[in-house]
Amino acid sequence: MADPKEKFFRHFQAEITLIQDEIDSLAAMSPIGGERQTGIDKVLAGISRLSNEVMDATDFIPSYDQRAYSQAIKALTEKLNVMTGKLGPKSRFQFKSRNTGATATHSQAAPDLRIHRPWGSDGSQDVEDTTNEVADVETRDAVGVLPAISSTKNYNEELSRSDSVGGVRKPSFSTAKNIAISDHRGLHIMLPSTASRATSSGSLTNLARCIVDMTVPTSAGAPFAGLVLKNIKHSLIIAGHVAGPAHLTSIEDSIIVVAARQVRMHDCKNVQVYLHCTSHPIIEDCSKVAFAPLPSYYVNESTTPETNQWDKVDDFKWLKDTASPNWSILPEKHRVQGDVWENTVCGKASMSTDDILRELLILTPTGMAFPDEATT
Amino acid sequence: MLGLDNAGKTTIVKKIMNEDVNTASSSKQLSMRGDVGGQKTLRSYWRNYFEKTDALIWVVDATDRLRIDDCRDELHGLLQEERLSGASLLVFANKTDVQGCMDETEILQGLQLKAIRSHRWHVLRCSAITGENLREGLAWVVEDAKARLFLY
Repeated sequence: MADPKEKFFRHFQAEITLIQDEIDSLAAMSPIGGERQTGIDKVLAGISRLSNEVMDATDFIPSYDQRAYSQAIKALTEKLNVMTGKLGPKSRFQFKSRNTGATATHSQAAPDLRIHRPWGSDGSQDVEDTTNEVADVETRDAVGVLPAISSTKNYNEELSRSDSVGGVRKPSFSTAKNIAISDHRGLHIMLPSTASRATSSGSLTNLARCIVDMTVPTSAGAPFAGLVLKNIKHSLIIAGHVAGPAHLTSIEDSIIVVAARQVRMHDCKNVQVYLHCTSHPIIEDCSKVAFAPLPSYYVNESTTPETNQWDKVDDFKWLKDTASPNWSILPEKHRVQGDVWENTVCGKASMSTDDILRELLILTPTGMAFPDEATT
Repeated sequence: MLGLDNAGKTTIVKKIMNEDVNTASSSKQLSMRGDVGGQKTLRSYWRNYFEKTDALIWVVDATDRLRIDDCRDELHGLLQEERLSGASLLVFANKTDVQGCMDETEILQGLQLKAIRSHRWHVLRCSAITGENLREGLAWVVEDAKARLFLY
């Protein structure tokens, strides 16, 4: 009998060739009726089985070989991502971090694209994986029933065509396990209530000039277990409710609205935080951070003002007794008013994403947000 | 017990001590219960705590894929510390009650644990919220440290 090391190598080779062939054949499968999705699932299952086998074989394969095996598996995953990226709307939004990279190519989205609430006209609708484009944003209430054909279109093509008109995208969140939105510019994203099954953990990374509202799925009994916001510029993030910690890193010239048990901010600059936090918020390596309590529009029974410690900030870069120069309380007159939260930030028909960001002083002629703040 | 901030060290200690885990706080001070704050500013103070260390418990937030590299660098840097030589290393993959967290393979690879030759190590999934595996972890640490004591 052959040496187990040798035997495993042969087995691995055979398996990997098989999976590669499966990936190659995805393009030929029909995207309708879930045929392609079944193919993708099969490939994913194969990859995870193979990586388990490598784990099990650690007893008899040397560590150098192990590394080679895991690199081969990684390459396989990347190949799959590239393929699914090519094949259409599935990769437009990604829900698993192992798909990271697939959306990087979409980062140059046109500024007026919006992802609107699919529950607009009939809240009961079960969102399928549909991507639709409407010529006029004002007609968005009429998009309840979507033509099936749109899901077969190449998403990238749609994106590049729709720079002159407002478009509405309705990617499916109903099967996602967690929320990981990354690499977008100039998008207005609203998480639908169907995403509430996906709130085990959330992350928003590498966003610029975006509005993201995650209030709806997280406030009705399904808060995020944990939330990460990282590398965000000139954006409005209404992060919703987090039952555990919220981690904010490298955020500049933005407004963040969040309710969390614990909040930690690192490397943030010129940020306004509307906060509900049941412990002391922590900042480290931050400057010009202004805090305000959670607007009453977003308060629910779990975020009563009595438990809010939004203004008891601990600055780890300022251990002296005097007040830290790195943060301040946002004066009432500079706070965003209640009706703006209620009406403007969910998207007005006449306003583009940039218009809303301008009204909130996030986008300014100088490029620095909140110029009024700076002068007072 | 060390790890990046937000890994859940204080919550683990609280759970073991039977305190309420839902009133979160963070170890701004270097707490004498053996868990030390993980904020960047505090990490340079970790070294002051290593005199006669028999075991190191490294807590990883299994939901934090974005900082796993940071976590690996801190851990490997720490293990260079002379006063930690020979100490047992327990890696607690915390928050595994959260759906979609990293599995053991991802943790092993992310932290490059297989590259550690200088310390005896052990990985355990755990959850400070449910209490899963916390006592098992401590038992391993105690047994491993004990086994070493008898060698001397």
